[in-house]
Amino acid sequence: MSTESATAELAEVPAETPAEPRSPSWRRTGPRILLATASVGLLFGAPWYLDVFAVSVATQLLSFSLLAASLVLVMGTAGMPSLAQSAYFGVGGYAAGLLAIHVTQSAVAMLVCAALAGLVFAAATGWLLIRTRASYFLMLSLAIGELLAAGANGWMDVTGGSDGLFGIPSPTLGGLDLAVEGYLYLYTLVMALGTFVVVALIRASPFGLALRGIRDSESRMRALGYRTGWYKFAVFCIGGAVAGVSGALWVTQIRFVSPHDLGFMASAFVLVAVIIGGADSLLGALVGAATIIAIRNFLPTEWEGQGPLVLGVLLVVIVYTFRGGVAALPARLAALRK
Amino acid sequence: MGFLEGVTAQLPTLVSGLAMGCLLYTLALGLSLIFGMMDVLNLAHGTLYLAGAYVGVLVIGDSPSWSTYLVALLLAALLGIALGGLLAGMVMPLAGRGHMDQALLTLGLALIGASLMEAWFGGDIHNVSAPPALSGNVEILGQFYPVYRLALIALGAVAAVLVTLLLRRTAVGALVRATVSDRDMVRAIGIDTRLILFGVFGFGGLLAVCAGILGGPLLGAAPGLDHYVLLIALIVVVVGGLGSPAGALLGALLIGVVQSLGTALVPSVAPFLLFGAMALVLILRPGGLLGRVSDGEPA
Repeated sequence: MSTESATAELAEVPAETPAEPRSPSWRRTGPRILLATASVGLLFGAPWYLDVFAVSVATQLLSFSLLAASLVLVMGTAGMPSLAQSAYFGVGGYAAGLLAIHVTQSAVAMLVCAALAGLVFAAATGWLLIRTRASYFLMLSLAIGELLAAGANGWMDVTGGSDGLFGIPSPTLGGLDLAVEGYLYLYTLVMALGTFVVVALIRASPFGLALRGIRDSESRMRALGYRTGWYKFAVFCIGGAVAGVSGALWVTQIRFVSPHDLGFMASAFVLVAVIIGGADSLLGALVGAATIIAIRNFLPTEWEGQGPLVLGVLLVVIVYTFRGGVAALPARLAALRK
Repeated sequence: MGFLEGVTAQLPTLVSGLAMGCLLYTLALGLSLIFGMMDVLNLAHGTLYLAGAYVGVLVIGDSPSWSTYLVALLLAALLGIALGGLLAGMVMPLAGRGHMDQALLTLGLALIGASLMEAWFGGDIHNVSAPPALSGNVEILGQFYPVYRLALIALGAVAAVLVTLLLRRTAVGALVRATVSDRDMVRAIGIDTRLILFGVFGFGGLLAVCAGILGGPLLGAAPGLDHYVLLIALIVVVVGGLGSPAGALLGALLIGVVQSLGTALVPSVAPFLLFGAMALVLILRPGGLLGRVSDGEPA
């Protein structure tokens, strides 16, 4: 997408850094701050230097990577391998779509409504899930996701059944019509970045640290006096809300949601994105999400519809040869150099 | 309509639920044993089933007869053992890595398998007829029952008895049970657990692919069926208790009945009914009906 320009920008950044000596901490954080500023600038400038198709793919990437972020929070940080995340994404999508059809087309209202829906459904199913662990969790979350998909399929009157929910009107923001690709991209970018920051702050907070502790040894954390069940339940609900936000952003763009968005295949796509990234890394998840979106959008035409096959092969290859994902790459390269 | 008539009117639904339960039993048994053996959650189990269903479509097709059925079952058994062995061989190198990588591998294989089958057989729904002698309905006490479903129940009962005998009364069965409960100890007394692992994967594969043949007249064969079957089998295993063959039977019958009664009486909430049944069991017994309690509880 914008790799060339990004690397060009990267190459220029060190040259611009001042030569005069600074404190060591500035030397370490300085380039990072510049890099972050440059990438945020690049992100916000995208509608001006990318064509319409690329902008629409970038919008997809933003909402999808938010779904990956919710799985990073639940699986990477808290150690709960959830296959139900896409179900909360779908629930959020349905909530946003139904709101737009029946009540209001305000994009922000859709977003809030979807976050609440994701939260409520995650809470309604999470109390059961957090009682289990490891493979049991995986299994149960898959079952819950599929059951929600089956529910969306069966509840014809409200959800439109297997045809999906279509005819969602184009959302508005203030007076802006978000059907315009550039506005839509910027709106999605602001919302996604905001949610990303929230997720990153949660991961870095004492709460996030406690979650890592629970992931690594729940019995030890309980012995230290942490009520581990509440921690897991809380983060699972937050993860559901983030997935719901992601669903709302997705529907704001695609304006369609169907039971397929909740089910097995959708869960597999997110899971692979996060695994490519290395499970416990937000930036890694972003790379993983970009890979998945690229597979979905840029497969050669003769490979049309072969997404699942590519995904399956990718999974097998990752499991055998790419442990730790993108996040482990620097360590691997360093090990190679030695 | 009185209460009694209301109940008897639902008897055919109950019977078809039990038939579905017997089918689920053959699937869940393999899933449960494979998990009990080495913590592998085999997400390709539904794919094995669908492969069997397509074998049925190819061999039996529109000419159902005893001979085509037998040929199909034989082919399915061989295919099942081969695919199960292949899965075991692919999972083996990941033995020390924990449950997630193994689940991911089987997920990848499931996706590959589903794509290949869809490329071969297309997206249409294929139907498979029951063997001619079992295709009609039979009237019992004023209600009509499909013969094939009654035959499935009989077959399921026979299979349950055979498997129980195999596991409880033979040396191989004792080895399998021992490996499920403590793999390291079995290895420590000088037994190659890899052989048992191959055996159980092959056996599980055989059951799953053959279930695809037997289930053909009920569910047909179509893309997406693999996910559906996997989902129901997972629920059965969660409800019954991981690693417990008797739990698989109990869970399969329970879920089969809940599923078909639910679909017949309250179709729009049937999925939530399944969730409700699963939730209820897990609240009362976190490890499943017949599972070890420690499996379900947080460490």
